[in-house]
Amino acid sequence: MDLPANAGASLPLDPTAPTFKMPAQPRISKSSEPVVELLTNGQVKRSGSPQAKKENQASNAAQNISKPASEAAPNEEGAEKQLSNKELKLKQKAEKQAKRAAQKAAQDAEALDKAQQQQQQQQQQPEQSSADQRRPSNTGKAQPSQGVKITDMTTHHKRTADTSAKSLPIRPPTGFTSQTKEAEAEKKSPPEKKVTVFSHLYSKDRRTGIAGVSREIHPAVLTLAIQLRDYVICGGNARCVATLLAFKKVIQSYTTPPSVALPRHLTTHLSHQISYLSSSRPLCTSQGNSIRWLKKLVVELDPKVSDPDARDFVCKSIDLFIREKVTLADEVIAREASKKIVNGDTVLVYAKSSVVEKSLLTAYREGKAFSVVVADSRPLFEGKNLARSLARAGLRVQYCLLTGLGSLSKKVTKCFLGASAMMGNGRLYSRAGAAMVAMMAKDSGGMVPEFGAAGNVPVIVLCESVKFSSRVVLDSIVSNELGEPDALVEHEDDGIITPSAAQLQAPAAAGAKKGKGGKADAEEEDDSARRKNFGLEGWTEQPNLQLLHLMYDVTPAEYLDMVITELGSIPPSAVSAVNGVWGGEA
Amino acid sequence: MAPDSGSRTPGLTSFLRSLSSEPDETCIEQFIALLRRRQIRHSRPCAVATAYLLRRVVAQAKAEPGKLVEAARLLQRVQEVGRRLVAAQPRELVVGNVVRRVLGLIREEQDNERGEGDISGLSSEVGIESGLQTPQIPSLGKGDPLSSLNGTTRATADMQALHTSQSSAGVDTRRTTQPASRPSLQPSHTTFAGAPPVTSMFSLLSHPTMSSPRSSPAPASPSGTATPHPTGSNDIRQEVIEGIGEIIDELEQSDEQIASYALEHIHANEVILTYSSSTTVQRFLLKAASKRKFTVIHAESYPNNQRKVHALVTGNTNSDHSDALTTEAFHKTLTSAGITVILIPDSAIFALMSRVNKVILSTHAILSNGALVATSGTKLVAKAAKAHHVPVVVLSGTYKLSPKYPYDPDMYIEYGDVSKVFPYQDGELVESVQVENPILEFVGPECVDMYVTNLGGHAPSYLYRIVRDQYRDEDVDI
Repeated sequence: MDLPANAGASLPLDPTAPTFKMPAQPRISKSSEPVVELLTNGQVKRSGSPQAKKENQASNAAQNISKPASEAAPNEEGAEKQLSNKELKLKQKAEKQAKRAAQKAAQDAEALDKAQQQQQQQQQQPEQSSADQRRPSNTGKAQPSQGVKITDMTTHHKRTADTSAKSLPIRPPTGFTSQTKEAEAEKKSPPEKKVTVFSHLYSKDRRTGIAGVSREIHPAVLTLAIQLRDYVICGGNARCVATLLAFKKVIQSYTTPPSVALPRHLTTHLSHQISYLSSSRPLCTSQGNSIRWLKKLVVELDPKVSDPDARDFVCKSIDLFIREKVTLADEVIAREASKKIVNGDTVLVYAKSSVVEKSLLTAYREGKAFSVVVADSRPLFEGKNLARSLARAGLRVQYCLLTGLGSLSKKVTKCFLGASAMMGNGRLYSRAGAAMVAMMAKDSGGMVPEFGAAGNVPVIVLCESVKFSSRVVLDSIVSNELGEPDALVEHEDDGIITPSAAQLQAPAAAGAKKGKGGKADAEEEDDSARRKNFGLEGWTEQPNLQLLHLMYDVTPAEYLDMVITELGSIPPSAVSAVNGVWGGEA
Repeated sequence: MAPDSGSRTPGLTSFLRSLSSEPDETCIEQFIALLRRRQIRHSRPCAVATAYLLRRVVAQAKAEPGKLVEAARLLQRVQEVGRRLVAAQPRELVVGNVVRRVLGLIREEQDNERGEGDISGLSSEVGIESGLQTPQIPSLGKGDPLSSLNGTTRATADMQALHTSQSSAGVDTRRTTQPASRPSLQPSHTTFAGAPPVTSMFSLLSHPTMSSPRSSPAPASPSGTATPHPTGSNDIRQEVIEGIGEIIDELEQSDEQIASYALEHIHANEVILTYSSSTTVQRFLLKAASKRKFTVIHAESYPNNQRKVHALVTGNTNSDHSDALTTEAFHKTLTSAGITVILIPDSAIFALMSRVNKVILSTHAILSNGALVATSGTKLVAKAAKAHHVPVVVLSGTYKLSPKYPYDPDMYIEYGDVSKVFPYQDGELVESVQVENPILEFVGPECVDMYVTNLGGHAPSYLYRIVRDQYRDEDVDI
């Protein structure tokens, strides 16, 4: 069940895949006597699956999906039989297998296997199918490898030959090969590809497919989980609202089973949804806070209230919550923040925050004459969306990437930052890079003509109180979220039109949603000719090379001057006081 | 506009190739065009091209039967060429640096010649010039040239000479010949003493060409300045060309020399953050990797350099890279040396800085106060390091050291192709948003804790000294 789901998922690194593969390969691997090994495998497996023997194709198809280990065993039997039929054709493949096996250099006891194989060979005719299965895997592996052993090949060919011939054309080798490749990569990589400092942040089953999901999970939650996973819904407020709305749907379609109290059962029902959600992407603070609120609300429901009434109440409360804590809060914050902007200001913002955007637009509507510097970074390029919407509204917008900040930040007179969370110790947890933006604003902003002199531009955080957390963090490493490292690989999609193609995608996909962010990068490249060489496409095969895609960082409280919330403007040191509103976080 | 790919594109290699065949004026024009079109860019290629070009210019400078001394003429010619080159691309500070070095060479030869020929007319000038080079000497030589304490003066002067020659050998890395040109001041002193052959054993040995034409140097030739001995003039050109050759050698070896200090600065198990792509840093780290195990965090410097960073990290050479000098270093990657390399986007620099032990950066140029003109984003890195109290080490050959003082830092910032940030296809954004893509950036000296040049490690406060040793004050403004 899980396997197909994983395969479907975009990510190349499936923790499951390698494990499966691993057992299969070692068996085969004995370099000295590949043939024998294969046979042994086949025998063993064959006993398990004798029925399938004749339907090669079917088996092949099955192989692709199924785990290699099971497949591996049967092939050889089939091979033996068929070799009489189509040896010639299949010799090549057999060779590949042999090489393959040689490379693998498994350690297993081969002698025993050989003996068994011989016996089996004589016996089996019907088991071809199983053999076929084996084949594909072998071939897939063999291609990358360079031939080592040819000694055993002859015997090998005979057994395997016919099966492979049939199977190969039919099979979709890609699936299988890719799987094997991945598996191989993972063999080496999983330890290496994880940055050790962050090993605690790598989640095992981050991406959950739809397959295998328990029935309890509501479709709305399923949808949301996928949207969250793919960064379709991104940003603290959006995630918070979307989560609440999804739960609203859950509750609307909820009926209390007989003989259970609604508050109790609904709570557990909700926690299932929640844990599923969090498996798709770690919950952010605003989500956590609102979920905590919702649970509390449900738990405190009067058990005597009828189902419909209770549902109604909860749904209304959710609406109210969204309105109060997000919509209205944003209004208040935007109004407050726009007061901080005066004519002639240059406001530095980073990435995208809905509140910041709203504040800037509010100030603009109020007739303030100011300009905005949007800083942005790879791979999400969220700032592009912000720049676009601000420019559409008519603001004067300058756009630069983080690297350009050094020279641009001089003109800045204010800095607005959005938040993913405000930590209990006054630190800001926000999109990776925000710390540097705040730092640059502090260090070199404010029209200081000379180098190094501190301009001390006010850095203002706009943050709804729903994003306040009582957690205390010191650095960005202990708690953080890791994005897909492959998002950092610049995909130069196909050929000549690359820039334009990437461009088309970039605004839609890359801007706010990170998943495809990488594609946006392709745009920059000047020449298509050298592309292939340049990218990071092969990084997984490169030993010792690790990619790190960090989603957030923590800005020290020293860089922040003010936090504007709907409860008022406070210094960062007062965040813990606001936390009282939420009664502390888990 | 951007330097594009393809082997046919003019660049350093094609320029150097054409250098031998074309007349120097054509070469100059060609180089200026290349500089303007940014087809030769980055410090080392510019420096190398300038050095080769100047060598050619010097070699082709004709001895004119006019009134000017050969050295002076040469000086004038190089100065004129230098001005044009610098004007063509003022942001490539190395061009000016190399021109200054060459001018310094010529001046030294000039001094030598004068020193041998004429004493009296020179004493003041020598004094001034020596003051630029070694502060102590002028007090001895100029202040009281004919002091009764002739012997002691001479002795100290000689000690000075030895001292300076040693230091200059280190400073200029002109291993053998540099000392030869250094003691140029000595003759004036020694001749005061009246016994040049004896006292300047050192200079005798080190100036075989100079002293051989006149086996018995005339104690005082009245018209020293005005004697353009044909032999002498030839010698000057020869000497200068040799000197330029040494500069070229230095350019080629500086990475290696810098790398040789790697083990002094990197300890085992260190976490090092580096930024952008630099062969200097790469070689430095590779050298350290030969002996130590450590971790490198490599920030990619988007959008101008990330391709090169990726190539550097993955070892995929970009075949079209026109600079032969840089490609060689691409062949070996740190990962292949067993070093764990973590590639991060620029946004993660601050987050990771708390785990970094040392930041190693390269630079485009260093100004006399220690400020850097470096790839954009360097300031971010340096400031983030500062915020975490992580030492910042800057690697740079001395040829990047410019005597300029940054009165107007913005002057050094170069802006690049905007389409790297926003592709032009995104019409709406391009029209409505002002996009900035600085390539270079000014980083104040307070961000740097140490400089490692081919002469070794220096504190920022010591840089001015290297500047003084390397350039003559007359040449600061070309």
